Amino acid sequence: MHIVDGVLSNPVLISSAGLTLLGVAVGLRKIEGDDIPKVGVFSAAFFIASLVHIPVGPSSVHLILNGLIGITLGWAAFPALLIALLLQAIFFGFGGLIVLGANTLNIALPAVLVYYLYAPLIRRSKTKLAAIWGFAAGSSAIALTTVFVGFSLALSGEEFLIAAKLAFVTHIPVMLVEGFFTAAAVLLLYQVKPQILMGEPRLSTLPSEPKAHL
Amino acid sequence: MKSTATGMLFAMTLLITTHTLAHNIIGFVYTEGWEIEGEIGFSDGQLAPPNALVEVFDPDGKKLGETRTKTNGTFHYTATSVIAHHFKANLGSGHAIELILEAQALPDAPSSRDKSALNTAPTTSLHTDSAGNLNEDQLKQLISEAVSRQVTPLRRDLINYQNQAKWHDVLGGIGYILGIFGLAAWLTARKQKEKP
Repeated sequence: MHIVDGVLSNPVLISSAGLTLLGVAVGLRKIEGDDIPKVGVFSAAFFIASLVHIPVGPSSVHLILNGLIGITLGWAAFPALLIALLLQAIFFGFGGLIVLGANTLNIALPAVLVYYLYAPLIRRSKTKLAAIWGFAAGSSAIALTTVFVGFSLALSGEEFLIAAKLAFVTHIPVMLVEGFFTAAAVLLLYQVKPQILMGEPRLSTLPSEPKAHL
Repeated sequence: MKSTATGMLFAMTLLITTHTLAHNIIGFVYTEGWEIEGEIGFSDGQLAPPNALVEVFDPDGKKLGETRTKTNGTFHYTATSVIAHHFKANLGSGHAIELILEAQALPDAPSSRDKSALNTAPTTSLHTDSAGNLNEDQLKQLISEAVSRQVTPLRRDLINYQNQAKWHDVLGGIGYILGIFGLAAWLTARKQKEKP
């Protein structure tokens, strides 16, 4: 899921870096003081997730968690993922510094889209249904990311359908695993800390709102 | 309901193994005389697909030639001049790698050997002592081949080791994240305190 340095063309790199900056700016505006620890925890979770390998058949996949990050953080996914991806590039050599903008965009934009698609549904639903929406959010975030990765590669000269199809097909196990993981996380959050799912990221101004959904 | 959630999470953790590896593309090149051998694969042990294109460039970006990977993820190229060789491979889906072979790794070209005549003076005496029917060049080549054969597995191990995420990296990364967000929380808290 991490594109490495030297694959994407300059126009793609520059424009995705620009879009990422925009996303980060919006994200930073949306973060209220009380949300900062939450954003930090999910940033750290993403940082770790790609090291956790889940065996699927002969190969293994690693979690990406952008669906879960999307439904919990919304636009704040941009700054959270930028920091995590930067540290992954520095510490583990995943991706690279030049493609940081493109990688952040490809992972954070699906998170934001998933937030608009599924967060209202999850907030409205009862526990079990919310978990099903969580599954959908987790897997569709991965699907969207593969499409975006395919798109970035296509704009840099690779054949879009081949690139996107390859990314999509190899990530079908990730979509399933990610879906189950997100569903489990939504179930757990519903039990122990529903505010994380409920809060329009403005917990400080609406302290009583989450209770109404219980 | 609570038990369902915890049960699911428990099942998840059972599935999870703690391989500290990710799907990074790694590779290395080495020489045996004029023959350059290379290996490309993924850090989880997967090999590069056979017949993947590997392009060879000189340091200025001029294309020298190309080769393709064999079934075991290795490729082969015969150098023709003593310059740094840049091997570029793109395995698709954003997996690309550039391997650089420095000029020093190649044997001295016939033209450059005259310049290093000073260095060869002591070794010629050695050659007459020990290896009666081998000339100096052959001996040099044998030694370098033997050394590279011994060093190759070490090199592979070293690269695999370098590409493993270490616990201190993981902990360091988490520390940075907590630090950054802690700083942000402190700054916003201070701003809010100043406001009223």
